[in-house]
Amino acid sequence: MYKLRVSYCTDVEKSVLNTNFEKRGWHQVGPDDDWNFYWANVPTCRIIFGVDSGYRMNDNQLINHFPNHYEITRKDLLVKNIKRYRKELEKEGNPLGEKNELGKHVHLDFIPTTFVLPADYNMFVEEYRKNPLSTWIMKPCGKSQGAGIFLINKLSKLKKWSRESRGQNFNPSMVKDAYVISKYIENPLLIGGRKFDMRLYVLVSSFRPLKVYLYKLGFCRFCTAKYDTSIQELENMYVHLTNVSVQKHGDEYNNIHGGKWSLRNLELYLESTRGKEVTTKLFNGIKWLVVHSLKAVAPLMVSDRHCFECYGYDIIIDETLKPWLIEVNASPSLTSTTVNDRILKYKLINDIISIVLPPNGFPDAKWNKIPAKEAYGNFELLLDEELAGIEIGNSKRAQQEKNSHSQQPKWK
Amino acid sequence: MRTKVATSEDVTLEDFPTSLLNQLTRRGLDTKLRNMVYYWLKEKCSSFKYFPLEPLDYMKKCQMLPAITTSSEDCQVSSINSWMRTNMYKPLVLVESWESRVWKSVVSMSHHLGIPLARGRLSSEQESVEENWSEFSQWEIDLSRCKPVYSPKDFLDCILQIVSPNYQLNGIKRLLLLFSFDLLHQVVVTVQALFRKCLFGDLTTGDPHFGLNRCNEGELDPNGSYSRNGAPKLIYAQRVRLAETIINRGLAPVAQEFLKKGCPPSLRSKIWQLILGSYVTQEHMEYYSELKQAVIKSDLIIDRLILKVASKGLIEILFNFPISSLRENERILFDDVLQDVQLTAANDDQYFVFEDSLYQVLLCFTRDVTLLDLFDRSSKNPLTAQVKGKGKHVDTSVIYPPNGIVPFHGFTMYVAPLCYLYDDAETLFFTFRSLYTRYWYRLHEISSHEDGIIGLSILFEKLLHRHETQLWFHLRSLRVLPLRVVFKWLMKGFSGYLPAEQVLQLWDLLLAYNTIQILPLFAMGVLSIRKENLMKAQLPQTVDAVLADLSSIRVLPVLQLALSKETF
Repeated sequence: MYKLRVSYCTDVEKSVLNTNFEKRGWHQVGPDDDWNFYWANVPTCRIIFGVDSGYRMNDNQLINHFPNHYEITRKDLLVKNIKRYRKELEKEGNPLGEKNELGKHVHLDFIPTTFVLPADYNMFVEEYRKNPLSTWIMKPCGKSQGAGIFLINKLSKLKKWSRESRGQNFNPSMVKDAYVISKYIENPLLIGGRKFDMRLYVLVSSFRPLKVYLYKLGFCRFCTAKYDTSIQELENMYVHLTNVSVQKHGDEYNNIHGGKWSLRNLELYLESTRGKEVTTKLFNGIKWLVVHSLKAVAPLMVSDRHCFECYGYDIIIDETLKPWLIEVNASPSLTSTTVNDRILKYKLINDIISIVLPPNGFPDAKWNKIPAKEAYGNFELLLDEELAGIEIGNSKRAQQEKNSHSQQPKWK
Repeated sequence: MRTKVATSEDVTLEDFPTSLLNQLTRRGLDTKLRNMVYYWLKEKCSSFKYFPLEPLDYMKKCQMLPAITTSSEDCQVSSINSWMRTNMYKPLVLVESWESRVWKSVVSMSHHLGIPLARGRLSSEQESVEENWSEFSQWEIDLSRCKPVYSPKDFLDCILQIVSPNYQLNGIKRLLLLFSFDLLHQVVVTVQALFRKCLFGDLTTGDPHFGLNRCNEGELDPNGSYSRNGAPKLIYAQRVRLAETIINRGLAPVAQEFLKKGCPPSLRSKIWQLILGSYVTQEHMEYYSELKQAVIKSDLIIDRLILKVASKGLIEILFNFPISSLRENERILFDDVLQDVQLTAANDDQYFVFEDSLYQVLLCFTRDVTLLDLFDRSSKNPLTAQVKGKGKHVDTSVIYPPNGIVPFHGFTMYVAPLCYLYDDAETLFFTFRSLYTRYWYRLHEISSHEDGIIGLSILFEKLLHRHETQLWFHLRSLRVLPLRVVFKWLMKGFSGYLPAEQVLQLWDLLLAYNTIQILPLFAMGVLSIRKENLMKAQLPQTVDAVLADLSSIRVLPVLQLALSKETF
């Protein structure tokens, strides 16, 4: 049988991508040529999906982003969507929307209390007054890699900042919704006295029905400096931010391990020092968080069958081993800082491609996107609503048949 | 407590033995007493055989420091230096005493840095140390000129030069290790018989082994479901319940037996503590803080070494070979460098998190004088230095460093895997110390004890020769000494070469069977697993490359393979 050769296009110049494509025997074409597989960066994607471009994809084309991924990756929209999702569930009387006596959600409390500034300023002040000694973290909505982030522990400081920024920016639309303010997790889990966060890779091959895979080889990123909550250190971002792009400028940054520790090591450490039960609970909590954050945005997503997307989830674990979702990235870094990093990212891309391509290896948007278990690689299926639906359907049908069978005599 | 029992009313004079025993049992003291005996036996006479000091003269010569320190004049450094001056330019004796070499290296470092071997810290320095106690990794101290005293490679080179006076072929003395039809041969034969018969019997019977099933899983399974394609949940639950019972009742010998079938990671820390007797009581805490004070008060040159060795072992790549700087025709092989790169790149990202705990534990370790007891049963002698500025007629020699152990490059690796088990420095310290006094100390001394590094090396060569004859001849034809590759694995107990979890599993078995001979057996297994690729190798460098990365090796399947060879 004649085997179609896949042509790929990419504007992300990363060796882990190219080596993967070449290993599969694909050939590279330009963006205007007839491509089958496009690994694009976010701006390119916006152009392709833009109304002005009028580009229509055919059945044999796949692209690595969803048109409106910002629903989950923008810090303010993520918060908005999760709040809305909770409210809806609550209204439906769904047990998932349950609240405890403090007004906190029992099952869906996985993001730190967050407000969008300046829109929610009054709500923030109200919340702040409840606990005036708390520390909050300010993040610009649209920026990444730790840029523009600072900590606040006094309301006056925030006021001062808002005056200053308004002074610089006369355009009110620039200030509007520019920042989110979240309750700072002051009691993060420390290992070796250092703060860390987890970077997990989550692959979504479809939003409706939702198909989610979690990559088992995530890692933890450590701060180079000891954790310290004192006021003097509030400004020291080497203590508080775990982003590699921040940490690598520190004097203590090490190029060999890059402050990265594998998830498997974390599991071994926690299981040995804290016990199996809590460790399992933590990892289950993480999966729960991933699935529900995606469920929250699923109804809003343009479920284009040509799309798949790999998200970088940033999660912080607190002292009580509760995971907190910090943010979601649409284009997690594919830069390799260490040898192991390179191996990991190479495998990641390889496994993503195996999952999103049908068994014959040629992109097909009409394919049902149910890969064989062998194609999962290091991914683990978290949820496939279609598969689950089939199973439920089957059992329901069986149930009905059974019922109809037992009811037959009555109808006679 | 015990006297209290003896004087209590229930113990009667008429029936003293029985009533006392009854009382002891009733108060749960019998388990404690039994454990004490168990620990004592394990610590004092390893392998239940009392081993006197080195019986072989020629071995002794290789290890020991000739009596030089007491020979001359006023103060430590100068005495050594004068000795060095007179001896350095003599034609190099084939076997130079190992200890004198280590000593020379330490002294020359002290000279080079212009810092005395030991000195008290000024109070300002003391404060700085105390302040930085939990973050030595960020302590600003210049270590760039400081070099590890010796690496496994240096030690191997020394061992390879040992000549047995008993064996001569055509009048030519043969190197001991290559063709050792010596006394050690006997040891090996008996050991092999042991292996075959009983020692690792449990591993080969095909019973479910916890570690084996766990490792089938391969990758991280955050679900923690061991049942997926590993051990059935039932077995897991059973093992956990059994382990909990053992821990609750504090039965040390039973815990050792339990480990033979593998241990759930969540309970490993407690089981090990039970076997090693490394409980931290109030006394231990006090002792540890005394050690800490000792570190704060005095500044040993060895400290720098430790900071260096630890940080090197953890972070930097070792491009310079320490003692080699003293020797002339030292070939730094490309492949050695390659391996060290591999070592650091592949594995050290497992331990960097624990850097600070490692410093603390190792620094306290150097000040621990109870470790000097080890010298009663080893062929080693502690290095001695003389205190400056005391009268001549007073005996001014002191042991240096206080615990008598000069760390080599990679010494940290004895502690590093334990960091996965224990959070607090105290437990970490005492567990490490128990392991060290039971097993590790033999891995860097020259002795004819069957558990000594020479015994292990010979055992390895023999095992390989016997079970992988083809491979052995192939390697010899490439002029590769298989031991050269394996030696550093043996010397560090595979720590730093295997993934942390696998190291812990290997050490599980080491504790369970109470024999360090599992290391050469496992090393043989690793070579036979990689046999296919090794047979293809046509260059020594390829051999090293094939064996450079062990991160995919699983302990149990490899051991079972190795043992299956031993059974027929």
